[in-house]
Amino acid sequence: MSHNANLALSAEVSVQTQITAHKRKTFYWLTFVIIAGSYLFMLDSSWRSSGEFHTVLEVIAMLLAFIVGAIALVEYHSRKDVATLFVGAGFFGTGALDCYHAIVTSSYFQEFLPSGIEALIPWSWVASRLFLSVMLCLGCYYSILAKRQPEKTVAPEKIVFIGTALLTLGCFAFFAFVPLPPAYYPELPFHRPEEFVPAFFFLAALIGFYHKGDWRTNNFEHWLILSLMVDFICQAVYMAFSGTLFDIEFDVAHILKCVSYLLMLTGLLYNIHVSFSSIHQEMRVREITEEELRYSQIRKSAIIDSMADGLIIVDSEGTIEEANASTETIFERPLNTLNGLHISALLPDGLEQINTAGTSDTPAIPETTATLKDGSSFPVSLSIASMNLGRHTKYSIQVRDISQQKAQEAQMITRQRELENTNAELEKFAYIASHDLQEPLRKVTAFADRLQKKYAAVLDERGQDYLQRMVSATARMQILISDLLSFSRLSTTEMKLEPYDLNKIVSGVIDDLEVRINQSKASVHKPELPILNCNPPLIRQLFQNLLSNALKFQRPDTPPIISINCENIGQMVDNNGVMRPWCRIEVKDNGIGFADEYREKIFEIFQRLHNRSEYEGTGMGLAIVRKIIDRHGGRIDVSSTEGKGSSFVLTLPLSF
Amino acid sequence: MNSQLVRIHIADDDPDDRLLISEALEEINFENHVSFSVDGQDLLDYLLRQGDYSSLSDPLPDIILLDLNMPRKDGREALREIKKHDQLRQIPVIILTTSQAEEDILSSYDLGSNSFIVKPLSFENMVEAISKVTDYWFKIVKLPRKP
Repeated sequence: MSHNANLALSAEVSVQTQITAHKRKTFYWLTFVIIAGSYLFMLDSSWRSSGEFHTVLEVIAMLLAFIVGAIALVEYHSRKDVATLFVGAGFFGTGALDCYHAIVTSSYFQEFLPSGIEALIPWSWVASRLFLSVMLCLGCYYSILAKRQPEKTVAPEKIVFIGTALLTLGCFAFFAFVPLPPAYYPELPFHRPEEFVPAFFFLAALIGFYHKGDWRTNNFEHWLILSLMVDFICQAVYMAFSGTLFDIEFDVAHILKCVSYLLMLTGLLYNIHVSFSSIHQEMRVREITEEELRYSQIRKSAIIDSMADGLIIVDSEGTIEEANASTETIFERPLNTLNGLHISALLPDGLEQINTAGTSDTPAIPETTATLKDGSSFPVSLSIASMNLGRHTKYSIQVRDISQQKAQEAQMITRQRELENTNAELEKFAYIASHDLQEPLRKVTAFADRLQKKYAAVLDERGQDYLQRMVSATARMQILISDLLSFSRLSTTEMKLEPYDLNKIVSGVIDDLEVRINQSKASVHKPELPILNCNPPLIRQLFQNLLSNALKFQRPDTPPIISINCENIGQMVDNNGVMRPWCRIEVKDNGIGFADEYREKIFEIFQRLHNRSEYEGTGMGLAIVRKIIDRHGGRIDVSSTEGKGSSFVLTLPLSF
Repeated sequence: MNSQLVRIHIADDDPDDRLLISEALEEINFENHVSFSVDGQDLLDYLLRQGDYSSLSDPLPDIILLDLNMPRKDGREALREIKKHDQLRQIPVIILTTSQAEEDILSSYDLGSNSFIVKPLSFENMVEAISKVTDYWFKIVKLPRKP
């Protein structure tokens, strides 16, 4: 829960507590006023009961006292709350004294005891009340002490039990053998002043527990305060003013004693209820937790045992504690031989690996070698995680056998190398072939030319025609081989890139094509172009081919209009992995265009869309353009409408 | 250099190329002395007046047009030896070859060739090149007197 939510909740709780506290305080006052105030209605009463009534009340009180005592002591035994120790011992002792009080004051024992009933009854009452009030006072004292210094305070169990037993027995003996002074003093307004002594202790305990303040939240202490209040009223308001035995004050006091015991019992029973319900709740919670734990175990086992990789748990020394089924398969050792084995038997540098993993925050996935029982080794990839379990640190090592992967990698590298070699050879072959093909071609052209110049007169018209066709054919072949040579050189030459002003390149190309531009009355529009990161001669060839095409494939009777546009398209990574700005350049014309289905075909080597008589050309121009773009790491796209024109869009890297 | 006839020597293993060069020289009405070698060894024998040419008493050529790719001893080797030789190294050597490979161009100049020409593809261009070469070396450039 967030901090704010926590504050809100505790604020809510404290509001609730305040309401409860307020209610309880009110209740205390009401109780006090009603019970104490009721005496005013009894002042003139001439009530008198009998000894038998008294004995009945005392028997009830005694039973209640024993019950309260027993429950309190049992509760103390389980919860060790010091207040309950004194409550328990106090009530037990009081129960014994009340029992004694009931017995010695009954008619049956009159003859055996030294003192008369008028002294015996009150004094044995006082003994019991004094004992209880002192015990509760001590309980209050120790309770406050325990609250202030919980670790230092130790409940004086032995002293309390022994003391209680001794005092109780002492009282028995005392009343049995010592003659007692009179208990009643009719001359005083309060006829039984001795009652104020226990009253004082009850009040002290009452005040003590009230100031301790736990009555606001703790139900037991709330009932304890009520019980003490009733005890105090019983002593100070009623019994102190009792004039004779069995008068109204006397009987009410006895009834109030039972009431106070009942209140105490209520507090204890409430505690028991709370304990039972929390036990029950805890049992439910424990059941749920156990079930979840079981499911978690099942899930964990399922996952771990179905893992293809091996999973080994080792302690910080490197001793194997657990391993999954796959570990057995990978290392070819039965699982039961693995527990207790040192990790170095399986992974020679295992200890080093876990120490490294232990020090780093990020999970490490190192590759290392593993060994089998027979000593042979194989490559593995590890994934190590450290588990901080309080006092110990354990490590989980995931082991993957990568021998197959490594073999495949090696294979791939070999194959790649073979491919590169083949490629290099092919390119060399293409280069040499086209170079060597030029030589005989050159001869044919030269001698055909000589023939035409020196022996044209000897040939008839048809002969001259044959000769001319031969010359044209060889000329075409020469261009073809020359283009093929350029194309193959594009693949073999090392690409040296440099920053170069595109404006210079394009202006140069336009100058080269000046004659053709003027002839076809073409207009070329070019904006301010950026500085490319390129191989200038290749880019020159690129634009030469594109612009040459734009001029060549013009619509009849429509002067070509070629426009070049350029825009920056942000940062991208180039062929060398360097992040740099790129640009998009469009070369647009209003020529004959072509059907969309040929969009890919036009870039293929030797592909032409028109036959030789319509437009000359070898079908290499655009293949070379694309190759140049490829080697610069860029791309080329084209869109065209048949009869309207074409637009070539190049993406090229810029200089910084 | 008009009093004396100038001498141009061509070393090329290809008979067709030898023919075409002669035809080109014919086209430009070159009336000076032309001689040929068929490979590197033949060229050196001729220049050093050894082997088949031991009885030769003609003066040394004024310029040499040298093809690179020849059997027995190629143009590169011949060039190296010519440029090492005390008497021969003064003769301007013009490489006239089909190869336009950068490494050939570089190594030729490195070995001391005076210039490098790629054999033109068309005969017309060949004529133009021969015309320019002869004009340059015989009309513009001053050549050393021969011993």
